[in-house]
Amino acid sequence: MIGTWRLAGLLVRYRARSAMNAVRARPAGPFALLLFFGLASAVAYVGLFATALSTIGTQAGPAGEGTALALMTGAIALASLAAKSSDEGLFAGTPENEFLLARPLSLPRLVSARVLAALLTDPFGALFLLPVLLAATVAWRLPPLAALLAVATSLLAQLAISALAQTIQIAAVRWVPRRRRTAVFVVLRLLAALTLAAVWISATAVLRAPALFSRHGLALQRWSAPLAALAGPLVAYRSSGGAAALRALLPLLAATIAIMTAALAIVRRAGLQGWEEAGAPWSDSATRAPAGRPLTLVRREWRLLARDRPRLVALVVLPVLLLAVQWLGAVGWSSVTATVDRVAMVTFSITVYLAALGPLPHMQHEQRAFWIVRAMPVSIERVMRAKVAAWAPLVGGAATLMFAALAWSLRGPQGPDTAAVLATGAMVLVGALATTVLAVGLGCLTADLSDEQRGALGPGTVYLFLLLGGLLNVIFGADGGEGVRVGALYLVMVAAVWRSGMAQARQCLDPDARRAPLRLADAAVLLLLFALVPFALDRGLGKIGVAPEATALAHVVVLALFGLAAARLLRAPGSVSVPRRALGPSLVIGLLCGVGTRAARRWLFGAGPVLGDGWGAPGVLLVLLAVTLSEELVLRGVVQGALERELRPLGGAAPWVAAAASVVVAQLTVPAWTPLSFLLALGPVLARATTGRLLAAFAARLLILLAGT
Amino acid sequence: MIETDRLTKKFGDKLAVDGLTLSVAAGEVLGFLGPNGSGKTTTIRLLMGLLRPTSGQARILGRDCHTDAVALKQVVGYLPDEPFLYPYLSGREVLELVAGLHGFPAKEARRRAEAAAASAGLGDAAGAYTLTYSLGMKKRTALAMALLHEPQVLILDEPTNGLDPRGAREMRDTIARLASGGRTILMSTHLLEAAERLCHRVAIVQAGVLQAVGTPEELRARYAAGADTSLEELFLRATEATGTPR
Repeated sequence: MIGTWRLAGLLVRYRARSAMNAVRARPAGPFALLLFFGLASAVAYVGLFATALSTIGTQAGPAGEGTALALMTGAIALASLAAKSSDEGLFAGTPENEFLLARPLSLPRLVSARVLAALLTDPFGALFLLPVLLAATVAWRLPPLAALLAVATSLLAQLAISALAQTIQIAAVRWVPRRRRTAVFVVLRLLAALTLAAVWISATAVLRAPALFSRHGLALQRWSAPLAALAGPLVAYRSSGGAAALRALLPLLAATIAIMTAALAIVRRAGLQGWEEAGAPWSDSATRAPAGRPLTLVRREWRLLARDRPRLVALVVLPVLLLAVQWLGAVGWSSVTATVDRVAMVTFSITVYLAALGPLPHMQHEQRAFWIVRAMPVSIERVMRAKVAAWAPLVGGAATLMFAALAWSLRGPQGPDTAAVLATGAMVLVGALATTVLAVGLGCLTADLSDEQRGALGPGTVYLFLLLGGLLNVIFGADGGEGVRVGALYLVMVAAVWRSGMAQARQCLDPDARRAPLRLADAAVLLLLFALVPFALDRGLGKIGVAPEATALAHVVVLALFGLAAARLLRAPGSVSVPRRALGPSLVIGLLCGVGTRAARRWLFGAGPVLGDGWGAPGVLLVLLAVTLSEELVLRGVVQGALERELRPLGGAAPWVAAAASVVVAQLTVPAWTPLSFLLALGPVLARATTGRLLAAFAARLLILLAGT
Repeated sequence: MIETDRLTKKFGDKLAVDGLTLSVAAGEVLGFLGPNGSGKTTTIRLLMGLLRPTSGQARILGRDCHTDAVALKQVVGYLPDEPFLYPYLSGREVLELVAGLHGFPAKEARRRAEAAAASAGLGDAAGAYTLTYSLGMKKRTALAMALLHEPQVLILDEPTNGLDPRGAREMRDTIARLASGGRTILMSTHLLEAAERLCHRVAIVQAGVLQAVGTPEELRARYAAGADTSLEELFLRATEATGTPR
């Protein structure tokens, strides 16, 4: 029989190869994105925690720093253990279990090998604990050897956590009766959520308010003492040097060995019974469906949700926990400092998370059964509308309840007036309903159900949804006109995502179906981000007092990124759907449109401001060119192009209707709208509509911008 | 070579296999037939040591399938009904991994993987990710995995299930070739014509209970059927008495 170390080596080698293959096959796929975000977050955490620990050290001394480190590492270890123990693989079973157990491998050996392999193949285990320990070595200016100590501490902790988690799982299926296993799973999940909330609370306290932590954090020293084993070696290294650090590492080493030994003894005792049966269809065969009213499309969603207890628990637990954190835990946020807009933002953010767990993965839950509704004489729109109808009361109801609960804490003589609370509450409700429609539409837009081995929902979609949902927060706190503009833009985006989503849902079972090169949803999402990200950037950078020059530079960089994203969309073959004129005539038409717009502007609004001397500098011109090009790529290339494609059924009128629609939609991106901004957009739009070329629009735009304005 | 003695498996209140007593001699091919949900896959998983029997015993080569499961897997090859392959490993890489899990050194594992990929007829596809494989290719790869360590005993769960006519034919030919090589094979299948052609004897189970076992001729005699009565007819007679499966 193959030895433990060799088995671990094989698992590492083939998991790494599988991961590399996945990245190679889909360079921008879920795995690559996850790896990128994981590594980027880890590096960011090192910097953030190092800064926070330095601040705490300045005010509370080494004791305060030690407490903060013990609190953070302990909370992370507990959360990691709870999350790993409640992994679905155990209860749902994995095909890999059968694959490996059909080979000559014993369960204890497999568990040991998996524990060892996880040290290298489970980067997220290390990515959470190691950055905090490394941050301490940076903040305390320890020599490079201390980094090795941090790595050793992290590895020992991971070994213990991984062994303990697998043992908890195996023991649960071996000794907990089948009918109670779901309850155990739910309890473990709840525990995982609570410990993760604890990590959030402590991280919030340490990162957001290190000064406040230094004043009050020492009181936590007594509580953090049992968690000190992980922080101990580094604290000892700092105070007494290497020998003391190694002595401080010994308890952790002993604990890890003891946990591994106990884990293997339990696994040996448990044997295969239970574990290998987990996830077998017979497990739940005794469960009979209770009689109920006949299913409709809406009722189907509710019934499926009601019977999917882990999902239901997650949906209930998440808002309760986040609300509790807001009420009780997070430093820097309290009912005293809250305003009704802040309450709305918190509520809406939690609602977006809720929608990411609820309606967003709806196609993931359809997966193999989707053919049933596709084979029925029911339109896809009706099926999806039923999903919205099923989820809207749940998401909207949860948002209203959360808002009411948080708004209640604002009452008092200094509190906002009832009308303001009601108006903001109504906006939260409308936002929650729009988010539900967006979740269902986006779930359809990215779904590919043609391959059962692939999930219908990738992490990229979840991040995009959270970003789009989160951006609606801009509405709260914006003045009336600005709020209306952002709301209208948001509704345009939701409608476009819905329309493109339905088209994708119609063909999602067909593996040969080709994605349209430039979809309305792509254009609308890009337009929304193009309009709101700079707005959010201004607000964010303004709050922390960044210099205007740096803010301007950030804007240029963001605009350039949008230009690159638009160019990538336009590079796809077939992205231009209208006939194009030759290059020379197009350029001439573009310049003529520019001249015409300038003349109209002079006639209607008088001469524009004259540019100062600095405009001639090559650097400034380069920035101007880049920004103009980016804007044209987004507005005329992607938005007008996608509208032309969508309106193709109109034939020859399509470019002109698309031009008219794009002028209106593009005006929603202008923060301070004036008739002049409308007029100035006409030249490039007409140039593009007449020639089918982006170059003509760019020429018109440059002429309007540079020639004497 | 393969023996079960009053083998029983319960899942909660559900009796999946009910006192199954059966034997397969060395070099024999036994067709394991039964309607869906009759306990065929459960019996096969019990034989592979993937499930623990509620009572009774299963033995292969005289060794207990549960207590000696690890050692037995060195001499038994197993083809599951729905084979799992790592989607982002190539067929060749999965075969190398399985050879490694059987304890072969790296060089030997590579040689065996190459040979198995060639004999499975994977051709250039051996270097492609298995997520691009058709069901037939997945089954052929899984069979190659089962044969990598040259086992004396083969346990095949629905080897032709889901395959197109050409794929099913190729799989049948492969099994016939393995049988003529003297291997002991227990094979569950729904293809009664193939079972009649490939198997020395067939066992018919219904609701976890063994209804009949013997050569097609013995079954004809048992059910007083004529020489031209097909195995399909015999199967229906054997299973109709106990009604719908549990």
